[in-house]
Amino acid sequence: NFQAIQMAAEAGASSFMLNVCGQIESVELPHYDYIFLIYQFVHGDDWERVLGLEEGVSQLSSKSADVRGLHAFAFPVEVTFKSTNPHGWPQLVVTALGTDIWGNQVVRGYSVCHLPMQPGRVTKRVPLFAPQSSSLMSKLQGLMQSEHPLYTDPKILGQGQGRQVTRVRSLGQMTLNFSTSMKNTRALGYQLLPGENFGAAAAM
Amino acid sequence: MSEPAAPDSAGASAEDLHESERLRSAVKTKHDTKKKRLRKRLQETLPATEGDADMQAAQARVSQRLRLSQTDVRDDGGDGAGAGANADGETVADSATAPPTEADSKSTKPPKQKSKMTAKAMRRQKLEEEQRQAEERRRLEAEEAAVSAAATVGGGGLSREDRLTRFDTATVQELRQSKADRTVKLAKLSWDALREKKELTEEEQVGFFANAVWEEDEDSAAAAAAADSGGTDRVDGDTGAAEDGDILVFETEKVYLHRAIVQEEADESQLYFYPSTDAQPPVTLDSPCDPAAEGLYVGRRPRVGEGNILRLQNILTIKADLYEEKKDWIGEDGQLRILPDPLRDVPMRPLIFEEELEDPTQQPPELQREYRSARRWDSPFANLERETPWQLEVDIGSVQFLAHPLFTLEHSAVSRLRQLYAVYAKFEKLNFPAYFRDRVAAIRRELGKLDQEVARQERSQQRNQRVLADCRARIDVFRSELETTRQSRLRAEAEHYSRLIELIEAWREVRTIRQEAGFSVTDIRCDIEETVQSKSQDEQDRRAEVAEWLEERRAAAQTRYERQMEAYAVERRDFETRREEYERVRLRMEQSGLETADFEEQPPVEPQMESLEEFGQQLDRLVRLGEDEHGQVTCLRRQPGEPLVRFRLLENSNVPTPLDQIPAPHRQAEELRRNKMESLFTYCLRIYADDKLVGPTDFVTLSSNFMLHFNRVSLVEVVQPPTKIRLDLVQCQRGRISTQTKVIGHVTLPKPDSQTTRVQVNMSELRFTYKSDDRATAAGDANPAEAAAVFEGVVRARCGWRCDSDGNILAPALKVYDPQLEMYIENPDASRDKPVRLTELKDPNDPWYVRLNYHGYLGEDADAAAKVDLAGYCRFNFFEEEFDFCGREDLEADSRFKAIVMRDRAQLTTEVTKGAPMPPYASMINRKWVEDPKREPDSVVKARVSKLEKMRLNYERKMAHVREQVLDAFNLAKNYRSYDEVIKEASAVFVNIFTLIRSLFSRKRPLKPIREVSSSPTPFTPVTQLNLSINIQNGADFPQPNDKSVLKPFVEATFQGNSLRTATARGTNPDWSASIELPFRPTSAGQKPETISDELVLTVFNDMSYTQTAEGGQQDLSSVIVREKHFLASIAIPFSAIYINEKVKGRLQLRMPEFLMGYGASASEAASADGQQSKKRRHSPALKVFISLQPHLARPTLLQQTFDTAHDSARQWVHNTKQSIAILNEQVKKTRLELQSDPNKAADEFLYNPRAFVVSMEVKEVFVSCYMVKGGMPPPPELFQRGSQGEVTDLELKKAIVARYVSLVPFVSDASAFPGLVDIWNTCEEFLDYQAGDEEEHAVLLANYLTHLTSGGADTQIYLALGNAVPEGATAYVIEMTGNEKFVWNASTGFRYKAQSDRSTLVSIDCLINSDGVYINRKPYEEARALNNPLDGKTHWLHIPKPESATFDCIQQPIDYGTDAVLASEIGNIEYDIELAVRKEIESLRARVPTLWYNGGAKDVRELLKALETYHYDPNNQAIATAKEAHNRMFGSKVIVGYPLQMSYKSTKEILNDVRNTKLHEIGMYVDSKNTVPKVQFSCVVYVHQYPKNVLSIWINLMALKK
Repeated sequence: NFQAIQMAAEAGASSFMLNVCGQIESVELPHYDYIFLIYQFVHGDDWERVLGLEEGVSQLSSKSADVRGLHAFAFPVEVTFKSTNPHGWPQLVVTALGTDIWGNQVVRGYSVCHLPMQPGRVTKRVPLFAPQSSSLMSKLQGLMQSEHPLYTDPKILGQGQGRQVTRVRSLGQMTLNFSTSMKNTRALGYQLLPGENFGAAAAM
Repeated sequence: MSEPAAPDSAGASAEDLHESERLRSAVKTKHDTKKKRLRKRLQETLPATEGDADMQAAQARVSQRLRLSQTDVRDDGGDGAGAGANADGETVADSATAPPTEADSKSTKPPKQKSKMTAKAMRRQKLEEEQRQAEERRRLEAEEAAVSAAATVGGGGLSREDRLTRFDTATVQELRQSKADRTVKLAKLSWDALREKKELTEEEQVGFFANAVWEEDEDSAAAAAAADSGGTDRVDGDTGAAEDGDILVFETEKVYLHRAIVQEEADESQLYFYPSTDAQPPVTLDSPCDPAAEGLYVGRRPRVGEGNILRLQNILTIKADLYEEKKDWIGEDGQLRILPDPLRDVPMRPLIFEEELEDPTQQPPELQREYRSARRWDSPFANLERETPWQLEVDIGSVQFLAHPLFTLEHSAVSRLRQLYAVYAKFEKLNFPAYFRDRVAAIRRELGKLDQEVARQERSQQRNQRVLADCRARIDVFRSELETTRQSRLRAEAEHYSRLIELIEAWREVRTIRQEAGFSVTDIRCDIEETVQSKSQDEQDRRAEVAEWLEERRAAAQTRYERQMEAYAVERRDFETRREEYERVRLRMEQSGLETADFEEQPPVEPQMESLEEFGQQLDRLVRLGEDEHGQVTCLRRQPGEPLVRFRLLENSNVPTPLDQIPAPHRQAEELRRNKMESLFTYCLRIYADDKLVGPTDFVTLSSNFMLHFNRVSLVEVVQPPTKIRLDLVQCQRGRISTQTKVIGHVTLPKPDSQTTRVQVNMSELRFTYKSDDRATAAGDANPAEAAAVFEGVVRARCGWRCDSDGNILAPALKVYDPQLEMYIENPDASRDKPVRLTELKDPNDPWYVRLNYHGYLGEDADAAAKVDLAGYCRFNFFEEEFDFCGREDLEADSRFKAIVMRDRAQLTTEVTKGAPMPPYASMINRKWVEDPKREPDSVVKARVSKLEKMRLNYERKMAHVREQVLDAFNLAKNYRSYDEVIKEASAVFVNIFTLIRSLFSRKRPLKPIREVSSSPTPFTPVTQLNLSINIQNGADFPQPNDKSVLKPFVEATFQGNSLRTATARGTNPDWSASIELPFRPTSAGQKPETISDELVLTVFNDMSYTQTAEGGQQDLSSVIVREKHFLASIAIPFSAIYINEKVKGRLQLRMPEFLMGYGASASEAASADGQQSKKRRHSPALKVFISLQPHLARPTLLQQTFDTAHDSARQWVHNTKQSIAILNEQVKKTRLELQSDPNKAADEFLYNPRAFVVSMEVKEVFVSCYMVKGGMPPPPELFQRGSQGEVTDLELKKAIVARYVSLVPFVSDASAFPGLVDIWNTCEEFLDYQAGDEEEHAVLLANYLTHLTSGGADTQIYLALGNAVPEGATAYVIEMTGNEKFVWNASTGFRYKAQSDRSTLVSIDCLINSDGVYINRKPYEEARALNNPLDGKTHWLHIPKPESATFDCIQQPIDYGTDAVLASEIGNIEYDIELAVRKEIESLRARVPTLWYNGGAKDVRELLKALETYHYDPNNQAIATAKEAHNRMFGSKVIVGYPLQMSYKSTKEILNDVRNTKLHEIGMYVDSKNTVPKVQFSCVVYVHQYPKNVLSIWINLMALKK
């Protein structure tokens, strides 16, 4: 194994690869009907997207008729990153958009989660939240003009800065699953052991 | 029945608690024994079946009696037991409180018992009757049954008498066995019988199970009755029983008795449980329910694992909602509801036949609640229950005699040598000298750090006194520690040295003995290594040591002296005041004619600096000679030049001389001795474990070097770990008849802790001594000498637990109760030995080592110290270095880390890295990323690092530090986002109706010009193609050529080496209306445009092109047009100013040389002719321009970073002030928008940034008025001295001089260094000290000076003005107001303008500042020319007065002008360097053609320059005139161009830049057809004028002369 590492280092493994394929399975947003999702990735300086879509827009979904109010999306997310540094590990930012009574597109919720750091299969449940109006007046205005508060750039959710000025309300949950594989992490000296589902996939 | 107990208890209550407990337990024992005896007696006397009525009567009597007696007990002796009111059902029985608890529960009997008695008894009798009937029936059946059942029936069918007799004879085992068998069967039978009956109600069931057990039964009642009757003899019997040791009867019935407890001889009262024979205790708070009374406690439950119960309970309680239907699984007692017997479907009690019991008052064993005293799982006895004994191994190595009767002289010498060597070897291993050396070095390092810290603290402006004091205190401590350590080191070295000497002496002795005897009997040899040392080196080291020591002492003494002086100063002041007071009183008294006396108090003694001379001598003596102050040699060290000696003792390397080689006289004696050694004595060691002999060793004879080799491991099996293991050395002397045995020494082996195996322990060397003083044996002994023998020796042995084959240590893990922790802990021995274990780990961070170091040295813990190698473990900051995963140097050297840090600080942008991610290895980092762009060293600096340069470097270093702090603050600020940046939402719109209506009423005009809003600016990117667009409109006041020719000026714009010029205009007020575009390229990718320091230089030349004719003088083909530019004036605008202000628009004041040869003479003559105008300063030429960037660039975002305020105590005020300024700012912004959208008001855009707080050098916000001194600061008086012409007295001239002085302080911009316009404001002192600063520093200093100058004047007000100027943009000026006269001073150029004049470069004013407060302009859009007096009113100015608080004290420090004057010779050097550099530059620029230098007339030129500098305020001064005349005479005829450049002291590069921009070198740079050398000579003269505080004025006179 050590030899393999050596060889990888000698072969000039100057970066490691992260391949994540997964799915946004479903969203539980019982209050809203007709929503669709946009996903984006936020990652650090040292990360480079090699393959896969930068942004994806899903189909429009109507909620299930039962009490769950479930939106099933089965929306595939597949992306390959290349990096030299685990700092700035990519995050998936999902924006749920819907139409309001005026027929305008409004934001229904945001959610963000890191891509898994371990090889293997992971199912995640991530809560959704949406920013709130700063005042009653602007809320009314927003209702009238269908201008609900929204983040100027959803990617801000991937950073820790500047969120203290916002107020949000939690809405529902999103279920995702990811299958992750990695390459060369050990050659660069990072040890990422399979976590939740041990033994599901092999490192390297 | 407790009558006898009562007085005992009563007596006990007076005693201490322990005593009473003991007594009580004794009483109880008696009580029980007594009961039993009585019962037996009763059974004998009374018939088995008695009448019910008798029974009841007896019971009633007994209970009555009982109540009485127990009340007595409670009253008398119950107070000790009053605390424990627990029922006997208590499970946790604290050993201390258990006896009183029991006693108490006994004494508190329920009163209800009696009333229920009859009913219960009756019911019970009925039941019994039924049972008996059933039994009878069964017995009959059984008798009829088969033979196989005979045994059972026989067992069950024993008659009561039978059983009784049987009990008397049966052994306990038999009884138990039969009882168990019977119980099972009978229970079955009885249940069947009950089931058959069917009519048993539930209540009856419960009653049956519960009450039958606890009810007072007949026997005890009878016993009580008997007790009632039989009084005194019972007491006798009791005492007798107690003495009989009758307690042992209980042993068969004991509830729980651990054998370990017997070993511990524990108080038996704690071990026994006495189930109450009385009725159930009342329901109290402590025992809410009695399971028995509740009918719940029936029989024995089937065992359910505790874990299972807990799990189930957990499930049922935590997940209650999920397991709703299973809620009643757990009963009220918290236990699982299960049947006691899984074989039955109804809870039932095993049937007990009371008559079976030998003691009816006792509970039948099946129903006895088993009492287990609460014990901890980690009890010390937990591990002792073990069948196989523990195994201890005692390893006995050898015994070495150090003294023995058979020792020869040589032997004893060798023995001594050996002992000395052992000490020496141990000492050498510890290596204390090295340890102390390390320690000294470490302390010195630490001291150095502290010194630096203190210096830093003292330097900093806002020093924290407490931190400083703390640092100083620590320094003191460290110093004293250092001194101690040095002493210790000396001592340690001396000790080492003396040991060595002793050792060598001892060795010499051995050698002498051997030589004298001629043979040797020992096998020891010595090896002495010597390392030669250089004497001079040693001397040097010693001297260095002394010097260091002395220096430290001096520093300490100095500090002490300073402190004393401070104290003295205070004392002295006190004394003075007291004396003055006294004198005053005395004067008064004398005046009134009273007797007076002199002031008698002595002044305090001034402390003297401690003289170090004597100490130095002492130290010298001590270090070099080892003498103390009395001249005694106390610590002798290795003398310089003496070799380093290492001593080694080699055993078994020398064969003792064989007998036949021994010289004859000694041979016989020696032979005898050797024989004796071999045959006379044998020795063995006896091993004792806790004084129990566990085994002797074999008998061993002495070896030739008096050693006994045992080498044996003996196994000791123990049940309990022994407290000690003793070894006795036994000597057997073989006599002819009998063998004499005597113990000649014993040693005790250390007890091994439970985790140590034999192999892990090192052999310990244990000494023994034995001195036979047995006279009796001596008399009988053959050899009296031997009888008085002294035995002394060392036993090498060790002891440890054995490991079995699986590696388990066969040792008890004994736990010990720790009273402090209140729990059982691991063997404390183990924890005490733990650090010794750590030595194997070699963890240098363990603070234990510190202790070890000290202890080891002080000899407190010599054994532990011996095991540790102390060297290399001296440190003061534990956990500091070892926790770094790599060293600081490694981090600094690692380019990847550096690059990441730079990227984090936004110093390394993606443009530099080209978007590539950070490579994973340092080797892959591009060097260019991380290396600082090195500035080429300044040639002047390189030549001589003068004082001035040092100042400059200091300033830069300081600024770099400040810059870093500011950058950090900004990086922090970047993380902060406003709401608008993050969230986009519908803004609540308030519709202003008026604006809607106004449009209805406004006049309709056919043409409605709409002000075009400039196109949206593009953000700056390095790839943007940028042009500098320069629109030059016109100029004014250019000098007139003397020859009356028309001036033909043109403007040349130079930026980044690109030059473009306008067309040539004509006249002194030319109009170019030209537009020039210069390309802009960023010097380095990723550089922020606001930090680009390139300058746009606009130079105005006189176009002197002429046609150079050939030799013939005819204009022909060979003639050339010579384009000569004569420098007139210039200005440099930094790019950042253009970028930040978006544009530069307005009239630029050009800098023109003081005079231009051949120009302006007429003007000046005209001026001098006109007396009125002579006073007026000449206007410098001006240029009206419009400069902007194409395309339009966005202004850099102004990060409004708030720093920590310096006014801690007035945070609220600061906050409020900022708030009000922000409100004003908003208003102004609104007005500005209105103005801009209003076409009628052609208002310019302006920057408005009023500030009341500025950032000081400490990166803290300071109220700006604190920079202004009330009353101003006095300028250096030397400024006004004018040698022969006396002092300048005119106020206006003084002002001019001061302005000139201030402007000469070099201008170094700091604005461009910081993103977002953060200015760091230095104080005037710093400004002058560093000789660098930008506009605001100049302005502050000038304002302070002017305030001082005008303070005597009537109504002159001086303000510091923050505002906008052309071309600087946001800047600071000084404004002077005298009545209606208002002047504007540009402090960095020294120019003064009238505020109303259109030449004033100050465009707008944001705020005015003086020492009293800040006036903020409410209407900044009104130009500065319409300057209103701030005192006029509130309409124009928002006044923020400076609060009257100490925190707002002026921060300016008085300036000391006197110090650090640069020497005249150095000035000369600077002059020379500059001149050389200028000449070289011009030559290099004229590389194509030769450059000729004219060196004449330099003295005249210098005279002129000096005059110009000295009388700059007065151009018509006589001195200038005469100098000019001389100059004119010298050069007038042949000058082509000539002008002096005047500048402040800048870097050589900037000076050369200025020179280059004059384009002097282009003169005469033509080459005509004949290749004649141009007939031009150059002259360059440099004059440096020195002002106070090393402010230099540099003059460079440049001339091009006709040859």
